Amino acid sequence: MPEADIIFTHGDIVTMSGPEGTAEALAVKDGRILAVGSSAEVLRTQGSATRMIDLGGKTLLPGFLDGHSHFINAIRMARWANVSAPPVGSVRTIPDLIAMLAETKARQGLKRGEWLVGYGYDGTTLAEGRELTRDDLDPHFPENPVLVMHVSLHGAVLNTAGFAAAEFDLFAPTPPGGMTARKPGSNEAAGLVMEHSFLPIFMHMPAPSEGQQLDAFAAAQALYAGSGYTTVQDAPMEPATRPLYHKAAEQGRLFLDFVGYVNWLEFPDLVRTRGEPFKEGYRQHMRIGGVKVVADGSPQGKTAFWTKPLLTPGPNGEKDWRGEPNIAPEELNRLVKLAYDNDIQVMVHCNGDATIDMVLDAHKAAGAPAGRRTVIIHSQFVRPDQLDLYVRYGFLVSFFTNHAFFWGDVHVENLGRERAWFLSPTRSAIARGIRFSNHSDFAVTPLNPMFILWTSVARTSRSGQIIGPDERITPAQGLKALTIDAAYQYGEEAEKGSLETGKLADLVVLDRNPTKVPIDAIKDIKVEETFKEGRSVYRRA
Amino acid sequence: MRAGAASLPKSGNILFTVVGGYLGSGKTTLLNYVLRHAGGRRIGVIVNDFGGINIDASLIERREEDMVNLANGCVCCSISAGFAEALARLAQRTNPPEHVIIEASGVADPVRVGYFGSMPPYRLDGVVVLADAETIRERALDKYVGSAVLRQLRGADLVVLNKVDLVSEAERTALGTWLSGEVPGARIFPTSHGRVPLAVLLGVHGAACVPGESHDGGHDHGEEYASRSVTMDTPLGEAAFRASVAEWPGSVLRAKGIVYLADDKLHRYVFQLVGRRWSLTQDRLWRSDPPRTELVLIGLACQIDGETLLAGLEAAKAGA
Repeated sequence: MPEADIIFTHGDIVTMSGPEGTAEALAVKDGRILAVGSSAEVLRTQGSATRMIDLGGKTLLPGFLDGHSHFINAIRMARWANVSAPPVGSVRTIPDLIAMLAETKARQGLKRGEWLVGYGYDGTTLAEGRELTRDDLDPHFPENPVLVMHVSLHGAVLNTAGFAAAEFDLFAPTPPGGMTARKPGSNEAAGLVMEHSFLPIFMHMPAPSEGQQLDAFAAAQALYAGSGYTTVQDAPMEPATRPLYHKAAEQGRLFLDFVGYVNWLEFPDLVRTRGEPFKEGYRQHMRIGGVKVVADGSPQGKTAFWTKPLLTPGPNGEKDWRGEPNIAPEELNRLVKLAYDNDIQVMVHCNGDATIDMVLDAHKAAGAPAGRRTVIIHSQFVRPDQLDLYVRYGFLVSFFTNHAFFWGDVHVENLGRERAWFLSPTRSAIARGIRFSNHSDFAVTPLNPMFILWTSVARTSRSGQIIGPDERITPAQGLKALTIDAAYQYGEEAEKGSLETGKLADLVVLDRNPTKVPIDAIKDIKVEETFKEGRSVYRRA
Repeated sequence: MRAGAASLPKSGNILFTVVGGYLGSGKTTLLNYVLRHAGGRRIGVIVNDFGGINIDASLIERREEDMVNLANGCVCCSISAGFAEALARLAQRTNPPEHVIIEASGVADPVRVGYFGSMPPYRLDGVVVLADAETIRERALDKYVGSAVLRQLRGADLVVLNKVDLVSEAERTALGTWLSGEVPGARIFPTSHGRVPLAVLLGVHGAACVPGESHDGGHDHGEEYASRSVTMDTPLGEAAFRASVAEWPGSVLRAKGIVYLADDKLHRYVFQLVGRRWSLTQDRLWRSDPPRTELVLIGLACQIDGETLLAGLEAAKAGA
């Protein structure tokens, strides 16, 4: 009997497999699960050198798999201040925000003239009831250009030094498609700039060097590992950052498994020139998962694409607005066919049902081959008849139930109750046997998988409305979307997603069991420790 | 965050044109035509599908990974890293282009792409949308792309109705009626094989028109467009001038020049018309230049009636 490196006992071990779905003990050897089951069984592998971990009643689960996110944000944000409002951050007032920035400045040891950046700013959440201005920032940060990114990522508030460093003319007229907040009764820019007013600033910002970005990989992975993820994703990778991931892998900087999906705009070229190893497995924790197409926009931004119009006007006041696709059907058809012909997985971002129709058509036009594990990312406003086609075509879904909380009220207003309540219809999917993951879309919403689990179980909006009570699922069902079914989406269900002998020892320890606590307590469950192939990669202080 | 080692030049005016229109309308053919017939203009072209533009190898001077430098001073680059990046790259060249053309994607709203043209050192010259004469009406009804196609047409300063050689005369007339209905005031340039004279697409090369020079009956590589010059020494009333311009027929596709206004005799006024969009803006003092109105109009050959236009402007003379 081989000797285990580690044995976990005295906890709630949730295996995500077998009729019970639980175990008393788990043994790890050489990065894989050696034994899992009853204490008697597992303890037979105990040797003199085995490290015994007493879970003390805590919960052990398979490490979470990222259904969908943009890992590059973690790299960029590694040096930024979190100025988000609760529950994403702790900023409620302008002094809170200033304090957060000051703390980051001190922690980074920023020198005079170096940019201080914050993210997650949302003026509508501040107690002061107004936007942040440069007059708020200037007294505290006279020597540093400051840029506070708006939560939408489409704008920012800058201090005077920031505008100067970006060569922004405070008195310049607002360009078409832009928004520049002005000081009352004056023409002077006050601080907040959005969309096309923001673009020139964005272009002037010094980019971190490649070396700085590579150095940020440790902190970026710590962010994900700290949320219990052991497999992470960037989809699509920006063409400019794709080589960065390869470099990070080559330099041995990855300790979590990273899966990159190529941007659809460069996909045909990369297939033609064999520019990416689409078929290869992990090398130094990195592999290319396939291609990601972004076929429409955001529902709350009214740039998704629906078959029926919204109840509210379009982004520019249009009547009977139903959004528009981001890609022509012919192009989508070509991409899907090219991927299928080369045995490459396709993921398509679709929020509106008209966009989903386009993807279903594309799959059919490509001959509707089986076993492709094509993934609809978000699939937010899918129709019931489309769910039936998902079954017929063997499609997978990565749902985004966090929308119920963050934008549920907005969706009811824009789409009416019937469509809004059917967003991310997890229960209807389960009823049809459709396998799905559930994601953060970080940095659109926070990484926290327990928050994602809570939204799938409670579907409660900010106002307290339950967005589709009939689509709520159980915590056990919700956990599958973070583990075994997410592994299935990656094609790695033989290696990950459940605690079974032979699988990788990718593990997460939570302070409480999500299947046993009151529902609203789920979102407050904390990650205690995360293991990647038996090695601890995060431990709560 | 992008690598902005050198900041964007604040001065300098790089003209910016958006070429939009659905797949198959002929954007790539048009852009290829432009690069081949640049005629001394330094043009930068930003395309979606770098492989598809198919530039004649004999024209290529130097090829980089995502940028092609032509022997005639033009450059073509790909959009894959994003509009903002591509625009910055072109503006930061040692010898930047005089005019940059961006190909908007098949479903993109070219007006929104045009917003990038408001970022110094760029100045938006025009939004040009191509329509395939054979398929445009059908496309406008398509359940997936119909509203996007109509939005493109409605946002255009200039509509290029391409492939007219593939439709009958009757169909052309019907198309004209349909377009005028869907896109009120549309300025349409009919053509085939994406051939649009650069004077129509990008304006007349060089600064404001030379006083006294006449360009009547100009031809450009066999395409039919004409240019007319108008010169008037008497100052014009602003309101009447604006009213007169609003009456100009759809066959006037471009106009440019200096206007002498009775309302403000001290300053030159710059007049620019690109398709449906035009502006009259105050410029510098006349100084030693003789104050007079000088305009060059470009439009469909045989359809710009210089006399009628002149009569309209005559009526705008102060006190008329």
